[in-house]
Amino acid sequence: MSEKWGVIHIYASYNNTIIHVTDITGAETIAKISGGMIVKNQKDESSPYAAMQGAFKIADMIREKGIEKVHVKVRAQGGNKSKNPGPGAQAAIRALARAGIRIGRIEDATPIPHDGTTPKKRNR
Amino acid sequence: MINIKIAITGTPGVGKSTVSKLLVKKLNNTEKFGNFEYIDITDAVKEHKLYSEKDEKMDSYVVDFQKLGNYINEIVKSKSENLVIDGHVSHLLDVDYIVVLRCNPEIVSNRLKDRNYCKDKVKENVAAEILDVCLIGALDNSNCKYVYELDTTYKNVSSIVGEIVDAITHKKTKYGIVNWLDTYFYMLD
Ligand SMILES: Nc1ncnc2c1ncn2[C@@H]1O[C@H](COP(=O)(O)OP(=O)(O)O)[C@@H](O)[C@H]1O
Ligand SMILES: [Mg+2]
Repeated sequence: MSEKWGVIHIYASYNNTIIHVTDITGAETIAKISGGMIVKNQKDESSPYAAMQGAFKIADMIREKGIEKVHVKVRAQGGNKSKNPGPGAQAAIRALARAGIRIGRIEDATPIPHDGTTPKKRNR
Repeated sequence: MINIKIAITGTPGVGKSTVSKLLVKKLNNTEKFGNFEYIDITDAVKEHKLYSEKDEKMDSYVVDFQKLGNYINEIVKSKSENLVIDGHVSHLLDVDYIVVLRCNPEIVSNRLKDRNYCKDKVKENVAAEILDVCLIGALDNSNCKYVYELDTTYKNVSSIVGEIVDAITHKKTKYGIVNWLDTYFYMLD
């Protein structure tokens, strides 16, 4: 059987993390899970724990559909400081790798605000 | 209260400039506060060329924070030590108090379309609002321990300003008050 690729989109906000798997074009949803589906307490929805558990579940869900390899697109501000929220992204990627999913490209697509000015030049 | 630099941050379109201008007026009409100067970062960066290059696709100048910092220091020296700094990068500066304004992403989207921003620019700003980019950036600013987040949706400007004055007066902090990602996920792709 030929190995299918998927794209894992990780969206981490202050209060939640959503992991969304699509086909390679991004058009078709293969699986989707939100922090709220993993933990009971609302304040834990963006925690690394919720992201990790979510990623394990996602790994099972996509494997059932024949996907073993994924590219990752992260949209999550911060995570560089430990006090920071939005740490779900890193935890999710580590969990996917541990669950045996092969990780291809990891792309940072964190949105940057622009009016007539912007804080930084995008490196995409 | 004297010598305080207040940053009013938030995604483009949430209402920073509208709120900041009234806030300055209110602070300057209240005796217990000193005189406040107002700085609109977007205007200042363009007018005084405080940028390193231009992002042509987004029609935006990339802020040179060194130059912007110097510009602000000049104003502190020449005009006032009390500032209201209006801009979506203001939370990245050396400030004493950060107010993060929030607004429903559908409303932000409509306001930015009204500004005739290109589709990608509207989308990226809306995504930044949904993913709490300014809030998380503000919490990451280790120079400032006061972060006050305020949802402006359906609130009138004077009540927003009243809440900000109260927050600053009592050194309140508050954040994590909205969860746009759950409800507005569909706007991200
Ligand atoms: N509290 C509010 N209620 C209704 N409309 C508002 C409010 N605050 C701002 N607006 C409107 O939203 C638009 C964007 O506001 P503006 O202050 O320019 O945002 P920003 O400076 O954050 O980009 C303007 O048309 C303004 O009149
Ligand atoms: Mg403005």
